[in-house]
Amino acid sequence: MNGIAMSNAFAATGRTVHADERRWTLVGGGLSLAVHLLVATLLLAGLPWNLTRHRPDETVVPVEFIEFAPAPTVERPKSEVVRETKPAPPARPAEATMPIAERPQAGAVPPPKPAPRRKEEPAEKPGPRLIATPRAKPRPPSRFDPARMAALIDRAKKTAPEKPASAAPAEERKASQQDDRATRTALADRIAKASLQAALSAKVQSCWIPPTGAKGAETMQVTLRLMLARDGRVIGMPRFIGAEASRVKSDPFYRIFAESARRAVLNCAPYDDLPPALYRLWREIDFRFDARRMYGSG
Amino acid sequence: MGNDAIKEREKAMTGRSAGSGTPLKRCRMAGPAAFLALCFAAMASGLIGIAGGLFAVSPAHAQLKVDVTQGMLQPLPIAVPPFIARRDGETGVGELGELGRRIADVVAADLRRSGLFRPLDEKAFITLPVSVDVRPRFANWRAIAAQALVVGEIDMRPDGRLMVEFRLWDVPVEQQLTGLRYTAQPADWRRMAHKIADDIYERLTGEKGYFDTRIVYIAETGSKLAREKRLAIMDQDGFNQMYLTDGKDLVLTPRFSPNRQEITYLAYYGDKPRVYLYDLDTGKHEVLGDFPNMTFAPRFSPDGKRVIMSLAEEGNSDIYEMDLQTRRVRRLTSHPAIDTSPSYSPDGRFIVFNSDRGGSQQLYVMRADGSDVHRISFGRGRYATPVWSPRGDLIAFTRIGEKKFRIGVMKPDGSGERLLTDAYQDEAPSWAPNGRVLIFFRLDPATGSTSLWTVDLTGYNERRVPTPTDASDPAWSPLLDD
Repeated sequence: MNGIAMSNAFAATGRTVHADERRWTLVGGGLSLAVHLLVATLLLAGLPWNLTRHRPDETVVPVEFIEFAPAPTVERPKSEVVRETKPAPPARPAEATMPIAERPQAGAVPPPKPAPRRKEEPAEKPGPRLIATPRAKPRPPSRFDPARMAALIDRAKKTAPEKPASAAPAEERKASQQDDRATRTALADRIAKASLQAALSAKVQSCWIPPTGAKGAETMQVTLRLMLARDGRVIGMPRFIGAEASRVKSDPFYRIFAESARRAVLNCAPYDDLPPALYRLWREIDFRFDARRMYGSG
Repeated sequence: MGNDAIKEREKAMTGRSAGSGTPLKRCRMAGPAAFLALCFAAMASGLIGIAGGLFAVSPAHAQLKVDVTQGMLQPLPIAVPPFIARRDGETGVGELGELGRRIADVVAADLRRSGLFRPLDEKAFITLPVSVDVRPRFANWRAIAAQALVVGEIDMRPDGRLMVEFRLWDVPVEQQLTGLRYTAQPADWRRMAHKIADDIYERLTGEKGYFDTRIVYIAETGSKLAREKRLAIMDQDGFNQMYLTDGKDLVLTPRFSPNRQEITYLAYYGDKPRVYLYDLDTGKHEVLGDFPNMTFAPRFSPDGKRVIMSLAEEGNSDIYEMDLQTRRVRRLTSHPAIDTSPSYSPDGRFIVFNSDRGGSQQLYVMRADGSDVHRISFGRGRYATPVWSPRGDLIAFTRIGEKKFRIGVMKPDGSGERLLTDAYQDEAPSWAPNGRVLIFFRLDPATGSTSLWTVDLTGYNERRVPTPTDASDPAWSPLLDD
């Protein structure tokens, strides 16, 4: 796919810069090599992780949805259990009083003031009452190696900006110079994007606990759009987009699936391990969760 | 910065939870505006390195598209802290605070046994909730990787009844998923806990739960030669054991009515087995029909109005159906081979049974009127005790072969056969009402003792159900209240 996109880019360049064509082919070859190396590295780095993390033989069974009877009242003589639907968060008077409502809790238990910070590094800073951690494994994000990702992206960046300096002989016209830059930038972006995609995919899949056995899960996919601040915080609530978004309301099994995806992208937040220099590439991300390959054609 | 993110999300949440129907819309309005502002700020401050300016020219394809095709196939971490007692007080079944703790324990145990949830250790909790009406401190639950949080509260009503209410929260999204309140006699506290577990299970899996159910089985005591068999019943989790017969008569194959608190079973009257009906509410036993011959392998029809069974005559047995109201009997098969173990499809249109008409014991499906008989099992070995799933999509069976008795499932057309267990001798599967879990009994060849086990459809989550004595022939009840 990269190959095709790249050759298109060169075709565009070729129209304006005939003299440079040959050198560009060489550069292109180098870049293509770099891309292939990147992909290979990602595959090599990603594969063992995949093999160890997933139980491939986990079979998932389609289930049938049974209509949820809304709040029935039980009339059993011997063991009477009355069930009422509890209204949505009731005694929450006004939005603004949220922190106030929290205060009694702080009175009952030593207020863990450094809590907000801890949210960022949950695994490293146990809270005051954290006696034992039930989690045997480290928190998923820690498995993701930002250093490795940064290295990949740095390499991609260097390939692009370094070239203009060396590839600026005197005979070049100004117009073509600009054109080259655009091309090279586009190329560098594609490489950077590919790295980001691979890294983000690996990161988020370690945060995703898909529902097992939901009916029709093997046919489900959902897309969530995330807005990120420069520091990697998620802005607002990720939203479901695309043609299937309406199923969230109409199909209970799909809703369960979509909600698991939304938990995943929030579990992984903040996305502060992305290279700030490439913010324009990752400020808005569409995560497409697709269970088809995972569940197979069960 | 992290601080801001939390505040921001909390503010967004606050706005959203006011009206439950509009959360996404609101977010959509607020999101892009904030995003644009930040985005331009970023642009103004100047992007470092390459081509910031160039890209500003064409911001059309801004989104980075990322495919996520793999997830962590693991149980969902859920926090179920003790239910908060609104006051001190005695309930008759324990002090209120203590009861709140026990209810949370029962809920957590149910969820854990399903294999789909991993209740977190209470020792890890950073703070405990103070009230069901106070928004939880989500950061503290995120910190221990809880994906869902159950906040419950209990109180005594002036009329002496126990009130239990709870909210289920999505921790990463900081949003309520469901909230319900139950009131009942304090003695029924376990049932209330099971119902809450069912609600949580349903909200997080999309399927109905199966925790507020009972299991009827044959309790076996005594030596191998002088085995005493009693009809017994217990909650799905092994609590509230009760015996329904005194052990004088040999009892076999109890089956629950799919929609009533009624059991049909087989008991020997002298040397002749007969089908009985037992009403759990009234405690009344009665013989079903007065046949001159043996009747066995009874099972209810999906509407609970008929019983289908085998009737033996001169070394041959065929399948009959009896209308429980009129007591009229209808013969469905008429074949010189042995036809037995019939079970209806949940829509009542088909019957699966086993027959040796093809030379060995195999599974056959026919229409409810006895027409269109066709064989569906073709694997190695013999097949016995077929049971149609309440969901209709699968038939469970015991496969006998390779020196083992194993529990398996196949689709009603015979395809997709899978064996779920692989011990020495597993027999007599019965479905949980949601059709995701099977209960069966296992014989230990070394000791000769029998015990009850459950297995889910993945085959991975196999668990023993505790019984005070040896146990066999389990049958799962429907959900107790519909």
